[in-house]
Amino acid sequence: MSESNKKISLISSEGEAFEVSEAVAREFEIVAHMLEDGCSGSSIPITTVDSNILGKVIEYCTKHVEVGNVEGNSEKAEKDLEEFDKRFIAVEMNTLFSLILAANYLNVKGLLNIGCQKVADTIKDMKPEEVRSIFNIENDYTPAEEEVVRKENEWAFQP
Amino acid sequence: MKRQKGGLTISQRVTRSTTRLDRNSLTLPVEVVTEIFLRLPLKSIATCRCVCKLWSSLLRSQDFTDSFLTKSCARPRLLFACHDHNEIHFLLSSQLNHPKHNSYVNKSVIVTLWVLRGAAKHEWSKRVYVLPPSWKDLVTGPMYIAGMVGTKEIVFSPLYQIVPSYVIYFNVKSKTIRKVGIQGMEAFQGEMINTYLNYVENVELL
Repeated sequence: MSESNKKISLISSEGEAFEVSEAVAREFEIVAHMLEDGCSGSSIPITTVDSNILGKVIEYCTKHVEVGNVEGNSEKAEKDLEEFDKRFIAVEMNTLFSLILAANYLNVKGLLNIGCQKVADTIKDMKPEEVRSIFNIENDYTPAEEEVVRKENEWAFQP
Repeated sequence: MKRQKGGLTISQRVTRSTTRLDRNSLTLPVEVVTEIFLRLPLKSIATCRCVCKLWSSLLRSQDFTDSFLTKSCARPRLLFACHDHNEIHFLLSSQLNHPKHNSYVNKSVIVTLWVLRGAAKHEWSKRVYVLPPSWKDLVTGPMYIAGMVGTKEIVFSPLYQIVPSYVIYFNVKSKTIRKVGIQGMEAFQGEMINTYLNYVENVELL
């Protein structure tokens, strides 16, 4: 039997096991490296990602592996995948950040890419105070400093 | 790239109770935030410099400036200059770099290009392109050639701004044309307009 039929368990931070095919697990580059380094264990702990997010990341990877396996990848399949990505990433900010953190840690490039793009599209036309709230950042400018930096970048605040 | 960990820490575990409606409880590491910055237009970069001191220094660093320019070169834009009385308004739009083909060929509008072969000898060669008949249905007034995108696409732009705004890509290889609508220029109805191709945003010029 080919290796792609091998199953691997990914264990979330809560200790919940998610059984996936090796092909799906390899979409996590961090896991692919572990397997190449001769890690033969069939269960891999993903201690920094909780079940909710791990489940979503697995859903994303499964879909992309499925579409990647279709012979003679058609334009339609590509379009479907684009639609899937769009729906997949349409989540509230906290979930989006959790997905990005997980994709960054697990090294799932495609997911990291659509996540970053989603955040960029969201903050594109926002004011500094709105961006601060999205990124959980405290304003460390004194009022005088803030006035200077705002003046320097004044053109960006015009409609 | 400088890794300034100070202001940006990763709080890994998410619990539902920390979720508030508008304030995010999670923070992204600097390298991820940089990836997001690289996907923003220049105007938003200016806004982000006002967010905090760390971001301001990140967004002024040479590393960031270089990366942004590399990304920007990979996605050149269309720049429109709209003349409105004494003011010129600049607007940016994405540029099609690989338009898909459709359409057919028949005799209709002819474009003749004179190409300078050797500048020293003043040798010119003549190229004649026949635009497909659908051209007549697509254009709404006088057009001019804004230039070429890549090696086989001529871009036509209207001389005067009309609503809805558009440009036309003519693929000289497949002899097909494609009209692409541009949104956001409604305010400049009837004004003269200049279209520039392959515009690249550069943080250095902020």
